[in-house]
Amino acid sequence: MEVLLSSGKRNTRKRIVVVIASLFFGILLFWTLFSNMLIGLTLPRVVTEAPTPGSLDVNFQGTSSLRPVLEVELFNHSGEKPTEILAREGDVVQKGQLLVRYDRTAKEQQLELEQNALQKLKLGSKQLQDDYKLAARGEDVAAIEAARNALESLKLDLSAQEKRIQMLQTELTDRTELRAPFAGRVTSVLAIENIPSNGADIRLLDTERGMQFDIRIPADMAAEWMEGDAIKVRTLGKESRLVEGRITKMEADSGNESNMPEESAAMNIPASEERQAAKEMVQVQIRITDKSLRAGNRVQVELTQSAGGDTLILSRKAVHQDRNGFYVFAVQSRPGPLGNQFYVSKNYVTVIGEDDQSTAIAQEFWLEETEIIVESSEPLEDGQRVRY
Amino acid sequence: MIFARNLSRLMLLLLTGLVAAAMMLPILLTVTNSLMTEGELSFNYSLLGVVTEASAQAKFVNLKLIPDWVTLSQYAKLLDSTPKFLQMFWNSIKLVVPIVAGQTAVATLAAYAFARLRFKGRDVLFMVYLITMVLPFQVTLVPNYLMIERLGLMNTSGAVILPGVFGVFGIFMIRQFMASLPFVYTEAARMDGAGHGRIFWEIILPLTKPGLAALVILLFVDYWNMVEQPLIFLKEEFDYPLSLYLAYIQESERGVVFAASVLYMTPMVLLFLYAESYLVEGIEHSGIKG
Repeated sequence: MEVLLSSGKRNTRKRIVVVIASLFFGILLFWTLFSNMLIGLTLPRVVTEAPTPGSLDVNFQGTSSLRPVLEVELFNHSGEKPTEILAREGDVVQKGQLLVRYDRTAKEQQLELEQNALQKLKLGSKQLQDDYKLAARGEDVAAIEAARNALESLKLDLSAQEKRIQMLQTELTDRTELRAPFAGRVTSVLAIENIPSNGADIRLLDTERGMQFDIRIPADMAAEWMEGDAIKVRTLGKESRLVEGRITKMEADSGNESNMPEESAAMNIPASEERQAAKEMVQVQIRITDKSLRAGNRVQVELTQSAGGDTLILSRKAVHQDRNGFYVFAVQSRPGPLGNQFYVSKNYVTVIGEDDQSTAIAQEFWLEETEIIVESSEPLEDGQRVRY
Repeated sequence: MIFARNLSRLMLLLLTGLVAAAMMLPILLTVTNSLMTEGELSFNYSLLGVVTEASAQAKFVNLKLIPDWVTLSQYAKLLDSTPKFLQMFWNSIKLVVPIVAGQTAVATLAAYAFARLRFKGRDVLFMVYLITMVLPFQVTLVPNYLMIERLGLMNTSGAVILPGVFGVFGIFMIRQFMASLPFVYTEAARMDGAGHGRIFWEIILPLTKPGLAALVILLFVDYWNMVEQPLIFLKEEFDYPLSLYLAYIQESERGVVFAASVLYMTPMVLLFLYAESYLVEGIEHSGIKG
């Protein structure tokens, strides 16, 4: 009986132990299966993509405004008021063409006075010649010498007066007219009829020399060009067309700040993107000789460079930049306690080129099947665990 | 006379009670401390670890048995935030169960041969087995390592399981147990025409059940606590068993230590409670103390 009781107790205890053991292992099993999922819910979610080998056409677009190569201001040196303005703004003029005619009255009157004075001197000359002839018949040496000196002095006066008249005549011709010093186009008429001007009267553009503009382009793209090369330039506006320009100057850009506020260049980088295209830039001056273009016209330069070779293409959003350069976050899979775990791995890359959608990076030791993080629900750090 | 006998029994009871309490204290302390908050544990054990202003003044560790505030937060933290624990727990199961099952199977067959068969060199071979049993693990480490490497098992579970399956202790223990069984059963079976297979399966094995239970418990405890084998034969941390877990716990996770310890010893305790009677019986018959 006692043995039976003891056996019954033992069986009861065994059952309890089995229940406890089942619970214990059941709880641990549950936690094993679900804790990974529960932990995963708290991790940043990421969206990834695999880089694909290929090439990328990198486009560069830069716009700028035209400015004349040579534009001169023509002044009125006579100080007289303009009487007739023959040039109109925008007129195409030939070299030597009359642009402005000035008041001649004062100059003509002065010329007349000088001519009268010349006549008067000439009349005096006859008298002195006679005096000299009379003195020469006598033997008074002093009288002869005095008469000769007076005659010579008058001759000098006559010569000076003639030169003065000649100068006045030249002035009358040159300074009462404003003519185009070269063939070009009148860009501005500042003179007003019958009102004396102190500054420039006409602004004239040399159309033979054409227009020019400056633009900053990436150094790697500029490497394909050199001074003297022809380059296609698109004129912007209603009648957009391609014109040929010629590179006249290339020099390394001294700084990021541009001294030409109008100029803008973009590698199609969205403004929202914090990344700055801290690339080496080259300042290029391009001249266009198309006569239909005006100063201030907007022009655009479009360049395309193929970033080919051993490159991998991935979304532009996947590439970030810090002070050490460009980098991407790759997903690294590590065998974890409860299955694979995914960690962020920060990898610096060499960017070959990029457009508004894609970025080409050097293949280097990069594995094609590596998943690159494109988007994440939270800011990421190297080594951080993520889910995807 | 009766009084003297009662007094001696009382003294004996007190003495065994004291010894039992001394043995139980660490386990009890572990269980109760696992229910304390991290703050309470930090205060109690401030003397250990980094010296702070508070710990510099303390002279003793405050061994408290009753928590100020009972909480399961340490268990939650252990299970929620440290998946490594769970992984190592199942690693232990993955390593120990095959070892125990394998060694029990191998030991039973080998022990039958040593105990019940008569063949030339049997006793010498058994002595050799005994010698390998008394050799410490460190002595056989190098040949074991070389063999594991040659077999291409390095850094796999097999590197730990295979040597465990062919452990000598099980053979020795079961052999002793089988040797204690009366020969009349097997003789009777043989007279009825039973072969070795039938005798082993239908007579010896059922009679060896307590011994096998004792062996299972002893092997489980032994391999559940193994440290050297996984450290040497396994390179990857995520293959390590739970016995190496405590090494990864930091000082700031004292509560987790206690919780992990409780969960760590639970399978052994449960197994012991389940097969306690078999264990006693098995040890009695085999004459081996665990």
